[in-house]
Amino acid sequence: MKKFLFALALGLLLVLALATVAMADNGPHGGFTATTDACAGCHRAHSAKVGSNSLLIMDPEALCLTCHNGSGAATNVVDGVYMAAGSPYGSVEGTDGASLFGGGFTNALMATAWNGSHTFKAGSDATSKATTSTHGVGAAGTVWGSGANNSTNAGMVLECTTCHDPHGKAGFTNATTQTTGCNVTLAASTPLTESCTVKVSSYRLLRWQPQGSGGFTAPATSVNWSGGNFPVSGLTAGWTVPDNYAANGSEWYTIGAQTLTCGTAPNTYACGPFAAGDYNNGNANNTYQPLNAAPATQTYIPAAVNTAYFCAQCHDRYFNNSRLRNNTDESAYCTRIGDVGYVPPVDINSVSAVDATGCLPYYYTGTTAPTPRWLWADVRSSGDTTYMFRHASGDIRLSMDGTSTAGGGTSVSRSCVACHVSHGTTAAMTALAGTADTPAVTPPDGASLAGGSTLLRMDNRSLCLRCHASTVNFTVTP
Amino acid sequence: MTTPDIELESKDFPQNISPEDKQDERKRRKLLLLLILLLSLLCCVGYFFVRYLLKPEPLPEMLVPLTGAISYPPAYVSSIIGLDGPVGVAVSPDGQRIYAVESTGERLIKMFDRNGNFIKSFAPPGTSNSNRKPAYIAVDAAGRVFVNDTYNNVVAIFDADGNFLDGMIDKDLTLSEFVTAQVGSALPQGTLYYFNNITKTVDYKLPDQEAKSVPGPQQTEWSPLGLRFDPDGNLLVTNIISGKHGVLIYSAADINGSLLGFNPQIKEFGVEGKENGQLSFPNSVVVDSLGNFYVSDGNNGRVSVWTIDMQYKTFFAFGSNEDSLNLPRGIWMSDKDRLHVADSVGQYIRVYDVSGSEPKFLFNFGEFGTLEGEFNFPIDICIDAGGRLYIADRDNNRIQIWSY
Repeated sequence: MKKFLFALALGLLLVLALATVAMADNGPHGGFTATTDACAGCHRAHSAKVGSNSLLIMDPEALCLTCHNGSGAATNVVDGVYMAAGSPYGSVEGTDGASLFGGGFTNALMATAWNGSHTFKAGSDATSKATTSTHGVGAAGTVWGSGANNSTNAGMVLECTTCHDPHGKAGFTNATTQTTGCNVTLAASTPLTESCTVKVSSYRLLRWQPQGSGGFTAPATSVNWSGGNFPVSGLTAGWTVPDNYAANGSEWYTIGAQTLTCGTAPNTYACGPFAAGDYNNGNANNTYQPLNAAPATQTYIPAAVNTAYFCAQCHDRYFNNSRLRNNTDESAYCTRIGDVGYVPPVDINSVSAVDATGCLPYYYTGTTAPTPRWLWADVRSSGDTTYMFRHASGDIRLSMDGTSTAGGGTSVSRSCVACHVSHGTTAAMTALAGTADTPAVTPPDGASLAGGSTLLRMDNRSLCLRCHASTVNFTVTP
Repeated sequence: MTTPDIELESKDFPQNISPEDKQDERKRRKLLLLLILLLSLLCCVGYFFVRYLLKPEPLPEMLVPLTGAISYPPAYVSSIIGLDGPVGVAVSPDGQRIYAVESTGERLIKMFDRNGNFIKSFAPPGTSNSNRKPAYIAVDAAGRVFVNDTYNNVVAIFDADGNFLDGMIDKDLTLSEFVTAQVGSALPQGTLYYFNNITKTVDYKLPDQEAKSVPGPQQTEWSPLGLRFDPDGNLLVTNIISGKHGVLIYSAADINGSLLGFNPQIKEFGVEGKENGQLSFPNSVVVDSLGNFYVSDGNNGRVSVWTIDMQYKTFFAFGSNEDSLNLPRGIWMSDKDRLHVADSVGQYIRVYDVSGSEPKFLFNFGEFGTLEGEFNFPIDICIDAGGRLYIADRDNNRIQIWSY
């Protein structure tokens, strides 16, 4: 009897161990129904090969690249090209053989030489070459500029799923603010922990915040709009990165405007229109305001700062939103209340970077003569000994047509991605750009950043000239 | 009266046989029996040997099945290493050459002999590993090697030794045809040409002349992925144009005819989607003995079936059963109508008997791992006439050889 029971138990164990059989994949990125089998395309309940909370059947990088190498998806991120005509993402990326805006991991199709035109101009200028630097996935790497001031840079294994949510539009909903693919109204009166029932399709299935990033750590010296603390992760709940190409077919992707419906039926309400994410509109509660109240004469896509915020979830100390106020936000940051035409001393090399009035230096000359122009300067020290003064990463005006007037171009950048690609670049670095920093700057952990192309879009320092041509007396050609 | 004397011979009387004689007799009988058995065995071996020479087949296939078709998995034999992310594999008609396509590294097509010894490598002309992406491969009855360069949407055609011959740069257009029209006369020996999908140009160079680049076709209906030849020599191509994922069928007559005057009568079927009769990134297509089409419907996780008349019939291997597929990629139909499917995410090869009215799952072989007989993203499979299976084991960087 004992033997029989033992054999029975063993048999049951064997059956249970084999219970997780292969299930079919009906396309992994959304389209879920109540009886979906899609989960089984990537997950295993009992026989996963990847642990943590993912229970993936395979290493995520290998799994994703099985399709995203052209054999299962048009987006070939290995080579940074489209592999099939007719993509829904616009006239540039939708062309067969056109570039992916993020570059590629092994190769990329880019025009990295100075040509006065776009980096990803399809069909011309762009050539396919091996990448010189990548946002390496699947292997441990250093997250440069991560963490609090003067802390050691974190190490992490970046995966595709760190930034992209493979569940896509039909993402999971939970009661926390870390809902993926969901937008909520972020008015002052709206609880930020509101659960969201709205599902949106984010651009490239990007998460609102990189998974496992730990959240953005504001520098010791605040650089936000109201002098208070920058919103920590979670409070800007549900900001996705929707697709919104500029009408001129700009090569840059943006985080654009949306009008959505939030809440639970029948108690729904309009959340938006979101003209764009904008860190400029602070209020007394330090609540992030989605609506941009920039002057009507300014035509820009302020949602650029969202990209910077996304990147800053990991690369905390690179973030520097220099657009600290707009002309309607008479914040306590500046004691020159009411004087919107104030032009502080032009001394951007001032170390203390705060003029005698206590205002953060900025340049704004109003909407009439002199010529209206926004200028940004990284003059506010973060307090970090390495990442002390940083190039503005908020709303960056960029002269994309190579003219000498910074901010004069009609195309505008989207902050970090104005200069960097997200997957990999073919930009070449030579001479001074290919050698150690001068003077050498060694981050606290001793590692050097010398010589790398660091995901820059263009060779050497051509990027600088795209904005600062006039500053350095560079004659723009062609 | 007296009884006449009868002479009796000793044989008329039972004789007393000694035990030794009896033992000898038994030994002789045993030896005789053994000899008969050996002769029978020799005859059987001789029969199968001769039969194998005439028609190579796995041994089980030659035996008369006792209770129906014998269905058991093949056994692992060996591996061909020295590859970078192989995703395509094909074998020459005589089984003496194995061609493997790399997806990483230099992205070459590598040729090996039957014993796995490297012979040579080749690639589309004028390309480098940053602007070519060979994927699936097929060899026709004449030994020509067809390789799909998915980066440039070119079905490159090489001879058996890997010398570039021509390329299909659109559904009904070849490089030789295009360049000949440009030049206006027959192309001299040594002319080089290829298509660049990024610049959408045909780059060509006549001997002793400057290289030229002219606008090429837009390829609006041409985005080939999978390649196979059916037993009749027809070329089967899966096409992944957005909205129109499907199958293109080129007749053997068109493929074997003049590529210079390429004017094929193409048959096609399929549209993109998840519903019945629709396809999503079909990676491969084969036919059974009745001419029905079996399509590896990759992103739909199933095999979809069309009749010989290109009418949608059914699908199978979809769902959450133990015979279902995850992400089918390369498929191969053996001559016994056994469909072999490389399930790249399932990490095995699934085998179905499609000879009956309903497909029947037989078995699968292989599992995830890096050891011999284990797979790490198997992508493609082919079987030679002798029953050897070749599997492109992508992330283990090898071609695995199995045998029935």
